[in-house]
Amino acid sequence: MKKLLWIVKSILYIITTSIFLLRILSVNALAVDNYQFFPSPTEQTLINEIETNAPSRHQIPLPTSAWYYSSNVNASYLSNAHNQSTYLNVISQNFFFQNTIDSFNLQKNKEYHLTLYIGVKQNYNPLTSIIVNTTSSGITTTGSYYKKVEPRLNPVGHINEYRYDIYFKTNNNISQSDTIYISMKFNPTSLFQSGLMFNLYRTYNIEEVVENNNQELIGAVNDVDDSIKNQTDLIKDTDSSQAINSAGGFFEGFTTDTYGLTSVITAPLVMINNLVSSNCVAIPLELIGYDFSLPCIDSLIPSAFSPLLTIYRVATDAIIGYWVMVNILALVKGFKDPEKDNIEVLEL
Amino acid sequence: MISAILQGIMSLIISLVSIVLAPIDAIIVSVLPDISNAMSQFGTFMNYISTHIGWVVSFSGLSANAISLIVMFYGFKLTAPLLFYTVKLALKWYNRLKP
Repeated sequence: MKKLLWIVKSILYIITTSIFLLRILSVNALAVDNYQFFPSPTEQTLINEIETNAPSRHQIPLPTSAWYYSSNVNASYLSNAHNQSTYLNVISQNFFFQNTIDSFNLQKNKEYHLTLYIGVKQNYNPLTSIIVNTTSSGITTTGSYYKKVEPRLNPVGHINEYRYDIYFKTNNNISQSDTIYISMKFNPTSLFQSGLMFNLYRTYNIEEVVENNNQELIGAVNDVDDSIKNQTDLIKDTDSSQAINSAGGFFEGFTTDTYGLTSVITAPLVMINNLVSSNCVAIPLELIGYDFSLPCIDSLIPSAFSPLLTIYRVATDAIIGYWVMVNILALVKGFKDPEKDNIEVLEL
Repeated sequence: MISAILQGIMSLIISLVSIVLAPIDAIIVSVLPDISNAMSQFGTFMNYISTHIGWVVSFSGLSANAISLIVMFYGFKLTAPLLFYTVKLALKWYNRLKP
């Protein structure tokens, strides 16, 4: 019975935890959905392309009719601040309205960055989507994107201002007489509570995205990139043969005589030198007219057993290393003996 | 790297020995050429043996690092006491001689 109860409690615990986690995930997803109007993959590609290839922009001056207000606001209050008299009627919930900008001469196949500021008297984001288009569909984006929403207190006071960045690109269809439509959809629960209309105004700024064609600067940046890449490759390079050659090269140029008394006396040193430096070479032999050779151990052992040789070498290296360390320690400890001052020499 | 340094040190010592013995060798070559040839043959024989020392090392199964470590140890064993006791002797002299 206790076991059954434990199983039921475990199942209930798992279900409760799952619901809790799902709820957290869904709430986060909804929160993002409420405040972000995600671009389509095509638009995201365009945005990335613009942001990557456009390090510098220049600004097109704003027309004077850039400010709009809702009709049901304290017009005198806002007009004191902005000195504008154009109004925008916001009359229903979930309103999807359009407005036009006809003061810009958009060029064909250009990239533009539209910065839109919207101010409301509420501390929440009123906008759920923005769509930019023209009468002749001269803009490649069917929707738009705002990447950052920053509420800030307007200089007028009591109005939170939100900034939206929209990127779009014109195509060959656009003409000088085109009108840009900026369509905005508002959050019904935040903007039009209890049938009241909140103060709303907007302004915009369109600047042309200009690619930097300074080839000299691009070349310099590429040179720096290449230099960093070369340094990184050099650091990552595990081939130390050049360093070894340089270290050995310091001692090059010394001549050795192999004749007379010198050859006898230096023979052990030459032997030690060859012991350190020589590689294994198969010894050729000729017996009864047949050529033989005594191969090196590496070529004798099949490749399947070469790991065993490696293990053996690791083990012998460890034993020799231990032996060397113990003897060096004994040698150093022997220095403390005041009676011992004999010096060993290599008997040539 | 260790092998390269060892080779360099050995080359340096051999060269220094050759410089010291060069006048004696010159005298032997000029005065007793047969003895000089006999001693040269000994050196040639040792060189021949040393060309196959790599093969012997290969069959011992030891790695090049182990061989270098052994040679380095003996180099340390032969040089470190010399330096230590020389410094010790110099200090002893200084203590005796100082006013």
